[in-house]
Amino acid sequence: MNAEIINMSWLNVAVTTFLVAAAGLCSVLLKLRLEKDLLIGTIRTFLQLILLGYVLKVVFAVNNPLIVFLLFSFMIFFAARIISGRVTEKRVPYFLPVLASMFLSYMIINLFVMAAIVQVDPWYMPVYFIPIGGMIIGNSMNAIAISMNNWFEGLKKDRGRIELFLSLGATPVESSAENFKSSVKSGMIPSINALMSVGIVSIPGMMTGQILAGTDPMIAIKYQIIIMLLLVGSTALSTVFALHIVRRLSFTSNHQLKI
Amino acid sequence: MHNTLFRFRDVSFNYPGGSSVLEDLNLEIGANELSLIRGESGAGKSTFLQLFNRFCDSGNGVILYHGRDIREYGIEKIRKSIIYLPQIPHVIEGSVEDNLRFPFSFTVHRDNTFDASRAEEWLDYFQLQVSLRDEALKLSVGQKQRISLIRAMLLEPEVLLLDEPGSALDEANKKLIEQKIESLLRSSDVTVLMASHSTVSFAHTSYRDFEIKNRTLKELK
Repeated sequence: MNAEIINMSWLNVAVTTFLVAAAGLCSVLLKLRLEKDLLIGTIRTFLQLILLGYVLKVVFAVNNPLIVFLLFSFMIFFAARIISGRVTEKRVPYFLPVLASMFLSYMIINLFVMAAIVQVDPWYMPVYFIPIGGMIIGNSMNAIAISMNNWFEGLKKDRGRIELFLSLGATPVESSAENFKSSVKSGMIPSINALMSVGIVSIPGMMTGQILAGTDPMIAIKYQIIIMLLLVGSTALSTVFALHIVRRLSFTSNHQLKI
Repeated sequence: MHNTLFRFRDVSFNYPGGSSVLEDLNLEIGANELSLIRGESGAGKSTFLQLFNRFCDSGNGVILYHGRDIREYGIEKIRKSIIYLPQIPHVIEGSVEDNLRFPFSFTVHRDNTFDASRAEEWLDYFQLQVSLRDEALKLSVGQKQRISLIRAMLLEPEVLLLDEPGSALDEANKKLIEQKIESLLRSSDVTVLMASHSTVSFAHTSYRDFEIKNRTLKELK
């Protein structure tokens, strides 16, 4: 494939805001009151992505492991913030432990992929490390949020049964074994479903990007397959890690439910 | 005097950051004794019972169980021999047998096995005309209360903590439970502490009568 990448001018990009204006017109005509959000959203998209572009340009150019590590940590920190915004239970102080478990599992998986599968040299080469790391974080962030909500809801729903088990000598782990399983499952199901539908409904984002950038589709699918399998693994690992910690935090030291 | 099972030394309890619930409890409970804990609702009867199985941990003072600080035992060990039954009996989805069998799957009970014929005997003892295959959720509150008692008795506890077992029951069921508890005390070495806000009269067994009032516990006779 020798297709040249068409480098659009900023003018071309600006013209597409015409489409947002069309959406805004719909909002006005149908009284959806979405104009303000559309405007803010569009401006944020421009600013955030321009900023990202510069950050990536610098990070790619500097090619320093410490900077890669810092950027990766920053991404994980924000993912953890998003999770704690989405999980409704606030009585269990899970933010730091979950952040730590995310950090550990994403680091393990990303390093494994860099070193053993894509085999980049050096292992931290930001052109690979950051985008693949970002996909791992984004996907398993959703999985962790889903499974944690499922866990806390389950504890509330099954409070009577769990307290009965505890009063008869069950450990916290024994008393909530079923809840734990169902929570891990609920986090993993979306990524398993994605395995089933990939390539039938749409061309996945990363592959689209590579194809638009002129990569041979057969190379692009290899990357995509790696990513899909990677995401299943990383959601499983990170939800199990995070839920382990959250389970511990959900019970008091004398085997009572905290919530 | 029976062997001392529990000894409370200046025990008090307050919820974390909250006001005090019980203060300066000093008492002894002997093995195979029946103790009645009376008091208004909200007086702290449940809290008092839950000090025994460590659902609540005393802030100050010491509770000795067989002469040793109760906090030195593993929580599961305590819950294995000291069983608390809440005011509202809880049954799990499934049959009566499922309800009596599940605790045997816990690590702490792994040395015991569920014995269906023993369970049948207990059903008879508590005059429950149900079969092990019946669905537990369909039973009446009185029946569920007795299932809870049988579930506890199958685990051969040393102490039963009964939190107002009669409160959700009609007069006939309440009498039945009280009678059965009395005869249980005579036929086994179990020790029973029972909370109640109404009067209970045990006709055939001597019992100790405690009252909780103004955060303190008094023995009435």
